[in-house]
Amino acid sequence: MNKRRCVLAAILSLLWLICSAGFSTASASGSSYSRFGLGDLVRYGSSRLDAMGGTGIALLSDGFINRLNPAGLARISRTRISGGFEYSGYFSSDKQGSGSYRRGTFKGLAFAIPIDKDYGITLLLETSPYSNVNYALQRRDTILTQDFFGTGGLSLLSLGGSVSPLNKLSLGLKLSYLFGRIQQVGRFDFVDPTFLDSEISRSEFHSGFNLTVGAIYEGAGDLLNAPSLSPLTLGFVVSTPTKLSVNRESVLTTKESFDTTATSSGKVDIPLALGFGASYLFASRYYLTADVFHQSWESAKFFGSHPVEIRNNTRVGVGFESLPERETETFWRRVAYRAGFYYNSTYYRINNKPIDEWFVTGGVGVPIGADARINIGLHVGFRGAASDNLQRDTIVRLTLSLSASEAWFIKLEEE
Amino acid sequence: MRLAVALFLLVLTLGLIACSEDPNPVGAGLLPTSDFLELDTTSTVALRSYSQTVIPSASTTRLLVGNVDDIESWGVLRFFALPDSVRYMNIVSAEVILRSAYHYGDSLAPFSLTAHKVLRSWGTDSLTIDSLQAAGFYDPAPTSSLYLSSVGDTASISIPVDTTVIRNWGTLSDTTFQNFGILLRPTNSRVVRGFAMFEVSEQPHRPKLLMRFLRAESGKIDTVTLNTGISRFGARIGNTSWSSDSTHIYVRNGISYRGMLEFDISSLPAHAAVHKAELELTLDRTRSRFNGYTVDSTFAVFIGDDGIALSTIFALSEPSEVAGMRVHRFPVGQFVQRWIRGAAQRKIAISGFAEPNALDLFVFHGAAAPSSLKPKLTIVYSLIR
Repeated sequence: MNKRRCVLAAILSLLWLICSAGFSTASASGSSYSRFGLGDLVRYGSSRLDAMGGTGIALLSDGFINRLNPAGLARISRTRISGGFEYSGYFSSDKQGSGSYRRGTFKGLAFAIPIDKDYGITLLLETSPYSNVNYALQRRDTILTQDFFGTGGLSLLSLGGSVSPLNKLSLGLKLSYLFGRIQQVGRFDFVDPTFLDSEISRSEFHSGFNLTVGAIYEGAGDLLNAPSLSPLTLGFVVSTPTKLSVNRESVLTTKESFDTTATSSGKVDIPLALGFGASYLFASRYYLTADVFHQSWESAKFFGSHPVEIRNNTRVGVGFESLPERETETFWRRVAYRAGFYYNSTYYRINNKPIDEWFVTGGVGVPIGADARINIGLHVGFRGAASDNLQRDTIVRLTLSLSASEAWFIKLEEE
Repeated sequence: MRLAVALFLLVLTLGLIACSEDPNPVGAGLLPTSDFLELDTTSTVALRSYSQTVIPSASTTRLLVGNVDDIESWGVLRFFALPDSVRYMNIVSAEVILRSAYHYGDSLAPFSLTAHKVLRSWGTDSLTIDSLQAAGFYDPAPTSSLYLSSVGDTASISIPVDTTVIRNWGTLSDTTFQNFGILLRPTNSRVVRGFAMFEVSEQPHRPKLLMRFLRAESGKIDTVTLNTGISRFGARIGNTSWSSDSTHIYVRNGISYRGMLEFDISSLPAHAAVHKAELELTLDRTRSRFNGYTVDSTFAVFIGDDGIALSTIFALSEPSEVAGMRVHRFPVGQFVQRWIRGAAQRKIAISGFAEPNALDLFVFHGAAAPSSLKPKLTIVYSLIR
């Protein structure tokens, strides 16, 4: 009965998470940097990994769906579902002053269905955010007030799976459909009432496919004949480059008319992405993780030309997790504790200055049932600088995700 | 379980407070200059201008009847809801009562007309003075005539109607219809009178058909009054020199003719957003004809791809005095925006505000006028990137 309640609570929470996705698209409340490129790129592995500095390319375990690396699904033993929600606060400042924004966003939903535990065959169905555009800016002078809003972003709809062809090698594959609409609106209110107040809206719908291939190898100790390295796991993930098809439409709206001023189509490059990770489990309870991720945006073209505001993106992070004790009655000992740090050289280069960010992370995994867990992650960090006509963002992100499992599709052994 | 509920409520609370906020200036410096609006202004004068006749709007609040100078105006009206029983009633008398609401010409001049039975069906949307005067449209033998030495500006006049005409208006059968109304033919020479019609908001001012009939059973006189119907007037002017005057455009209410202007905006970029476009027309006061009823305003009407004025896209002028000249300014941003987007006709029609209700004449300087008086279009725009 208690288990059923937990499952019910899990379903209710997930429904709420899905509903809350509306907040992310209806509001324009975030960093001005998301005006550029495809917006803020989202790299979300799960709330567990988020709390560990966003690292986990080499993590292979049963209790979570690893969205950073499909090879990380190979240990899942029960059908698992997880969904996440993020509440973020932006406190931004520049030479002009400061302001704050808040927003809630849906962090996606994932199902992992184990087919064959011996061979690590697990299927994955996943939807995740890929990028977020959210800004609301204003410039006012004696002639007019210009408001700029950006909303939308890209999402991933992925189908994938894992397999373990060798004892200590797991492979994974994920085919993703990237899609989404980015809308940028300029609203122009003239002081002189004889002018037509107007709104120019540019909407771009992106779509395309890419493939992510991952591997996790647990035999580093054997390979190097170093028993001390036997808890070491190495991970690798690569996402293929792709060209997104983009349909662009510009609409001019005044109080007197609604006019589609231009429609066009073009291509936007999503470059090759590479990630390497390592995890080390010591004392059978403590994980240390480290990831490096790189995406070569420097060569990416948007509608045939490379935007000057885009450069290569490199992210380095480290994480720590204290696993819960299973055989204990004490609640706090059944909680997982996580911490981490990451440095992200973002793909933004504004006014010819690189925009970097630093974050410290932390979080807990709280058990809510036999095999269900609410993971809470907190990120606090900075992005950019207030000098050079730029903006400094202090960002606080609170992520919540629910991860639960059921014994669906499991073949019971006959007595 | 309690923890799960608490966390669920936390998520709910965070979701509810994660709301959108107003835009603020922080970060505006990041935006590329191409995002901001850069206004540019261009001016052009009319490429061509002329005047042309049109059939005025079907809906009128005044029926104009009379003769003045070389203008003649005839009227026709028909009352609705005539009971079938009028054919069998013992009608003692009938009269049409009209309330004066306008004049053009000498207000103290005598006013006279003859009333005629209309013989053909008609509608309000296409009737002109030519069709009113066409042979067979009305019975040339008047049913009554009226002569008044003068008509006050708010006076009511009564036009007798032959009772046999009224009886004849009664429906003969489901397929035969006789009530085509009466035509008012002016016989005076120095004034055109306007009478309030069915569309006026003040119900007592509307036309009335008053019938008195004798009740056979009681021997008493009873009355029936009708005040719903349709009307139309058609007017003509003898002097047509306006049609060949290239230096002016003529906008005549009532008769009607309109000014036409054509512009070349090929210098504007195709991806332009028009934030303001203003058409300026300078009035030639010496040629214009106004009186106390004149509404000093005109419309600019967009011309569709088929060359027909689109009455749904228009701009009302705002007249003002500029260096001793009367200038009508029209906000025509929507017109120019449509032209940029590829509208086939880049023309504007100028019509009078009171086109269906009055006889005023607005004469504006046209494309062949001296440059300072030409119709001028000033456009403020920006490029959409």
